Amino acid sequence: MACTMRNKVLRDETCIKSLGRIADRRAVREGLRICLERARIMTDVFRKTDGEPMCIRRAKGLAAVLDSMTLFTRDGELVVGCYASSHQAVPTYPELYWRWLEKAVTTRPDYSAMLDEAGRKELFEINEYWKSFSIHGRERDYIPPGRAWRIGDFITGGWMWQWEISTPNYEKILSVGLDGILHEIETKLEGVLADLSIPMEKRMKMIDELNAMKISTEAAARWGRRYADMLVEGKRKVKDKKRLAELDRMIETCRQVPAGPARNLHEALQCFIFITFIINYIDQPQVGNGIRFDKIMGPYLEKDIRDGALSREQARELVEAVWVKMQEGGYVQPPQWVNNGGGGLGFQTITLGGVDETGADITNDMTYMALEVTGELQTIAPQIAVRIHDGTPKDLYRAIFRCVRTGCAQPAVFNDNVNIPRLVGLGCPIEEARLYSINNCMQPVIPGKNCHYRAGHSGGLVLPMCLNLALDEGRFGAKVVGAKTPPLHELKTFEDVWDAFCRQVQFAAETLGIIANIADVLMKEYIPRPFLSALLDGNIEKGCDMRDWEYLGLRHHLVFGCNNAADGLAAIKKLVFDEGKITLEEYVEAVRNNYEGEFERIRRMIETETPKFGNDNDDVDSLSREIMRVVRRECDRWTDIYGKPYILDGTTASAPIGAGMILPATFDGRKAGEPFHDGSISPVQGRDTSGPTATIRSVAKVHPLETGNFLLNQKFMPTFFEPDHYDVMEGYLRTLKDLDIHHVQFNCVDKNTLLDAKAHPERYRDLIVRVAGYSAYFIDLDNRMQDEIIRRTEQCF
Amino acid sequence: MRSDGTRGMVFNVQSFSIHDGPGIRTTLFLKGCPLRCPWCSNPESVSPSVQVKISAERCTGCGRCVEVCTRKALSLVEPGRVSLVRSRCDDCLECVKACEYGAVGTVGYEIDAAQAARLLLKDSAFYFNTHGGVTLSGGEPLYQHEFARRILALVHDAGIHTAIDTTGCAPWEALESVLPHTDMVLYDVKHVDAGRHRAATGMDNTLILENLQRLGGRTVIWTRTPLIPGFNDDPGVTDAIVALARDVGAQRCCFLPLHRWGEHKYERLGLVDPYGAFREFGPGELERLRERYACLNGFVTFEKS
Repeated sequence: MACTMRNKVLRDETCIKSLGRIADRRAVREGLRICLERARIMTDVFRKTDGEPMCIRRAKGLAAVLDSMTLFTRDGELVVGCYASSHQAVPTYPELYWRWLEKAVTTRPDYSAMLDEAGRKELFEINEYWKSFSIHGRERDYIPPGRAWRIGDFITGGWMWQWEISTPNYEKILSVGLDGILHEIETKLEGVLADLSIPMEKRMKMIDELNAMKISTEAAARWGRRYADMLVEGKRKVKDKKRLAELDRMIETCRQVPAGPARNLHEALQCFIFITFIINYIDQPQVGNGIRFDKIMGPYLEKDIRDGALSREQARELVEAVWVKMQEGGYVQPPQWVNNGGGGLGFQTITLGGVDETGADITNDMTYMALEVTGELQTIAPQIAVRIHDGTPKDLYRAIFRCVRTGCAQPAVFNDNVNIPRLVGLGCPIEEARLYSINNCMQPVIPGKNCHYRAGHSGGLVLPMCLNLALDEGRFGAKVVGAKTPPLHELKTFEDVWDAFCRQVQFAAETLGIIANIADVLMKEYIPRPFLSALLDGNIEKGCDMRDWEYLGLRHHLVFGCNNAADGLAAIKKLVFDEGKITLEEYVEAVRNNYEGEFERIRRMIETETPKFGNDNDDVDSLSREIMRVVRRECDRWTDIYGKPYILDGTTASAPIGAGMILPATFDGRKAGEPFHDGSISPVQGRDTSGPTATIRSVAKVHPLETGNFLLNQKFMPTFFEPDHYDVMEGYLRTLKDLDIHHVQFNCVDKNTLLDAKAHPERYRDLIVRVAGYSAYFIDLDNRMQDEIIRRTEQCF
Repeated sequence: MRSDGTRGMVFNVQSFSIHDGPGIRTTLFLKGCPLRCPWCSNPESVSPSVQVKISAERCTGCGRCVEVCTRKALSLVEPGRVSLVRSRCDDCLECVKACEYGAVGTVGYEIDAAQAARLLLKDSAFYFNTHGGVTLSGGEPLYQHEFARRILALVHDAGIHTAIDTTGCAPWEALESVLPHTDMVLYDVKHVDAGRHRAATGMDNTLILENLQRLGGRTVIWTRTPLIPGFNDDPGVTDAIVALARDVGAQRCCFLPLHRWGEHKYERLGLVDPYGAFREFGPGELERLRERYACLNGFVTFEKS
């Protein structure tokens, strides 16, 4: 069944916002505008509420935005919602950042085209107000001496601004409505007001927090009614009977949700979009989403079909409408991030499949409907994550392959056998761990629980560069950016090199922790989120903001290049210490000279004589494992501001390509400018020559529970997903599950298609590839990224 | 290579293959073959010994291989591009020692049967989940039948499904000796006519057909026919092959339309590319054949090339 025409039209008209058009070296899509409405209203409220508690000011700010922002609908849409004054525009968040944006709109033509002269002037005026307490930039006052932290200081990178990750309790919202939550807040507030046994300072703070929740939740409840009123207004011009009936239904829906409980699928989907837009775009920029879509929406679908309220086709059209709506999301990104973000980072992930709290499979009709819509509508949002476990039905495997086969590079497949124990290991009770969803690219959260963290990271830990530092006393060129480790002549054995490397890793992980913690303290003080707090379990009960505590420590560091480092260490071990073919000094000299001229000989030696990760060779695979164990140990040592250890993140996105472009040669034979391997544990490009199963065996040795390894990308030819091969591919996926591979993503396009797409982008507007944790239109990627996708080892039969 | 079969000569281990029997399989390719089929996609399988192989893309044009070659088998056809003429080469491998760039290398290596079995068992988890296993192919795997038997026995004893992909052109005793350790046989039937068979492959098919008849009923058989335009794609021939397959109780009768994926290998081995001599399938030809056996769907299969 094909998708409906109206949703196809809406999809095509959607301005993809967070995806920079890197192909033509533009950071910003043409026609994209900055909408200053949110920033203007928020600033007005802050000016008027000077001196009030921060949570109240933020609640009033959100309420004012929701009450007075311009609303719009698009022709023919069934599900409504917006977060800026047109679907071509994005808001800005001056409380988070201003410096880079001012610079970008002043100096870069693509950014300055997003505002007219008056708009630019107003933006500067607004920023003027926030300069003293906007988050980004304030960290400078708190960085300890001797720590590299700026963007470009490569080992850690520094931070720009950070997307937040958190998943509200959608089940609760849909079943009691915001009015039900308000009732809970009010009851608690009455209780606290009357309760003098609570220490006074705490009691007053609780009262402020609960009032802030009340103000913002009431405003969110009103938002649906504002939409209903607008639809009534717009109805006058409509003559078409069918559309009038639709509008009546939409009006009824918006009168009901999000204030009241959702009574049917349409209301549930509309409520989901309202809440998502408020918390992910209007209140704060937040990626991820993390809804278990089929688990939550399946019962509504079943009921509506059973009652005859909806046909299956009507239900599908509504799901399509949600997908189209989600594709509208986005933010204006810092110029530096466009290269790193590449695509998708503004998008939202929907989780399907998996188990309930008892461990029983939850697959239902909505699981299949969502996958069908994904394959047929070919939007790049939402991202789809499917959980597989021992009891995943055969039909679901087939639905996965049918979806992959459409070429949409969806879904990513996640392994419950790894994710559940991992969460249990972090301190989550098993019943709750089973309820996890995938948020952002590949991070787990427990929906509805007070899990919150930032996805923008405090920078990245580039492991192969730690090896470079280890062999140069912590220096990068003339600058000291790492720990002081022994000079070259004191490195007498491989163990000496290894120890120096570990010391550099430790120093870098520490730096990341410091920067992240400074950022968290600032966010806690200046950006409380009363509305989202009310939607996360425990905050109303505690009378506190979500940032005051943490249900589970999921803050993580971005670490990549493990296998470049492992290949490099294995080469040093073999060529210098085991075989004595070259001296360490010669090796270092070769790397410094980018393996050019006479040093090409050494690069060839590395290429042909030393073992590479991804070929099931213990000599090097064990090094990868040890490196990741060291990283994990260092992450464990540095805790977040809530006292929980940091964990590793596999969401490298396109950072290995971006970082590779600016970083010098490394010891694995990689020359300056070449990318590092993608994901957190994929073999280095073109070095896994022993076939896909050997790659998997290598990856399986670096066990995710022990080391935190994550992402394995596999690009498949379409033939893999033909019906004849469903059984084989099902067994393949089951094997990955049995081998405790954390998750796998498929690119299902053949090399010739990609080469042709590179040459004739105009013919391949729909071609979607999975880059690393996200999907993007191939033609929107820059040439290097395109080459990278093409070069990744193709798995062919 | 030892005559007791504890060691043997192989040239490739192909993991994740799904065309050599059921499920995900690992195929071990053994060297040596009695037939000389011109469409062969593994020309490196024919000779039972190590051979010189050129990777011209790695050549820098230093010319050292040309200098050491006493038989003038190597030459630089253009600066930075070495080329081999197989008929002049005696595989003395002096050139391989001389090349520093990996442009002149070898194909084929000796391996211990036990070591080979260990290698093949590594993907057991995949076999288990897909009802796959291990396939010995070639060349003709029975060319080194004792070596093959030892590997099959080790793999089979580990509980893994085993298959051989054979031309059938081997003494019955050799074939029979592997049967206790072999769960299925992929049996090549190139043509039913002895003369046509000999003309194309250099060998009669009498032994092949005899062996097939004796094999019938003793194991699971999939007959496999490389479908070559103008040679065996005539409905009369394919009908006879299908009938033969049914007659011996084969579980499947597979047709594998000619493909040219082995084309680049000919140049690497210094051989003349044979594919120019074959015509392509005409439009609709394959579809018509497929249509012809549609009622036998499941028994007669056509693989995608």
